[in-house]
Amino acid sequence: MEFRNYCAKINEMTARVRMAENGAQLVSRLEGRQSLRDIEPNIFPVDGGPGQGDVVEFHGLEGTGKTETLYHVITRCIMPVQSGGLEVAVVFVDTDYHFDMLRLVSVLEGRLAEGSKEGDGSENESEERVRSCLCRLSVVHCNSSVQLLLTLQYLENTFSSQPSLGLLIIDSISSFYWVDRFNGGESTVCQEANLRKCAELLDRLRRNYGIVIFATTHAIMRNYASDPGVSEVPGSSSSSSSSSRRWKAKKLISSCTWTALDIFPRILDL
Amino acid sequence: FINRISDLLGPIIDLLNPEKSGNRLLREVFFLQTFLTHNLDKLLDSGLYTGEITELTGSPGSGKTQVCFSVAVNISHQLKQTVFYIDTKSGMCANRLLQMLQTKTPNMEEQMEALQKIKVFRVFDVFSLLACLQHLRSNGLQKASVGGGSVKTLMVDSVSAVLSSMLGGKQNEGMSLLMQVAGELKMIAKDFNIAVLMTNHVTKDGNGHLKAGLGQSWSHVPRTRVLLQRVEDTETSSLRTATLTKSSRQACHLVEEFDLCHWSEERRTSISGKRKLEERSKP
Repeated sequence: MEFRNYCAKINEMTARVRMAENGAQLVSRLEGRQSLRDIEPNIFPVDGGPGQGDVVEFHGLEGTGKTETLYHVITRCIMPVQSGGLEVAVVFVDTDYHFDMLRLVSVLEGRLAEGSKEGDGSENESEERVRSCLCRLSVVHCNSSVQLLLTLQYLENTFSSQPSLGLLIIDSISSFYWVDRFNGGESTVCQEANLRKCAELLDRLRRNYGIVIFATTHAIMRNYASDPGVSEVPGSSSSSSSSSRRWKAKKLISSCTWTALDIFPRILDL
Repeated sequence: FINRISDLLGPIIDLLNPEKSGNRLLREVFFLQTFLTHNLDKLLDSGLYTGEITELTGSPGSGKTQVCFSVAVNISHQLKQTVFYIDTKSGMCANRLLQMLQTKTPNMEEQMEALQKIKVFRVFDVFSLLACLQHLRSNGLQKASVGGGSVKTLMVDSVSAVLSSMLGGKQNEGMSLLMQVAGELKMIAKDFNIAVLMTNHVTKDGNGHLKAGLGQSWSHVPRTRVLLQRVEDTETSSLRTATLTKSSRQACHLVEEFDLCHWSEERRTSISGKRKLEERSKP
């Protein structure tokens, strides 16, 4: 009970901060964030990428490349414009603890090397470039759905004060499914409560600030009823999805997470 | 209560840190070379990485515990670092560790020093495993690093022994415990920069291929997975193959072969563990 009061107080405090936005923040909010329409030409069609306030979900089995795709998306965002990037700041919420800095840096270095035409660069220079790119990335780790909720509430403040933040990535939003389901007991409402609040917060963030949200969900349940003859989504490049059965996340997560959101493009089933 | 609140606000406090987390995380990663054999190190992309969970799967007798012993011995002797070994199957055998150490150095003192760096915890059900992990996270790990020799490895042999009995049926508690164990292991790996190595059993999927046990939800947990198998047709051979089945750094399905008897001097009766009993019973 005490804990809930504490949460309510935090809510109040952040609400007050939200209401007291200054002129600069108002302008930045109304102006909108940088467009991310050409964020990933390998996945989205030309100029068909996510617009402001869009939500994209990557869904798949383990080993299908969801986190790897996110690394490429992050790299494209944080690189400077002259290397082919978008110079947009990114917040990465990691609930899976799968974020591998070394892998991201190797992808980033590869792309930066492609972008710079002549072999300019001593090692120090390239290290400097990598560091300046990494300054646009913030990584947060969460290990429970309550922590995720509190973090998202705090992030609302960050989004309002930093107009260069255009992308929020949550990897993955389904990692607390079993723990929440057990803690909620018999009632579905209790089980979904935290995730529902997170979804409402995300909806508010994307409506008020026009950011793009990428989220991944794990395929954790086998769907025995699905048709084994379903063909693979054209353009999917994953070689590890050898089984032709489509695996779906349980409806609970889908309905709970995206209830409050109007736009739900399930663009890619890896 | 206060600890719980500060735990929950952890990520927010992280965000308030003026140095951007991108750069901060870059400074914290490193890997441990396991010196297993040249082949296995190549498979793991030069060794175990800290901050990550690596999983060894294989059918019984495929050498998972032997590989764990070898990694523990190498890290405690060559890298001089403490190893925490959580044993759920009573497979930990100090004699075997000593045997492996004797091939590395004839010096008794060095052997004893290395053995002292391997700390064993025995747990036999999932609740004591969770308690052990939580205790390690709250004070065990810091104490070990103060007492000399930092802790860089945690091994759990095996995770499936305590978890598989909780799964199945319609109850949610089993899955929730599974994810809690996963969460604890991940937090330990990330917060203390430790390489976590764990073992798991195998089951067969619909097409008859081997896959790791504990189900779909657990398969998302480890970052790297190696499948160990015995080389066919010889019952008493000590040859094993290791296949990389999940990795974020290398192409999958690399196969390397290695020999268990290279880790100890006795070449004739070099198989310890499960296979030795069969040998003795043969006329």
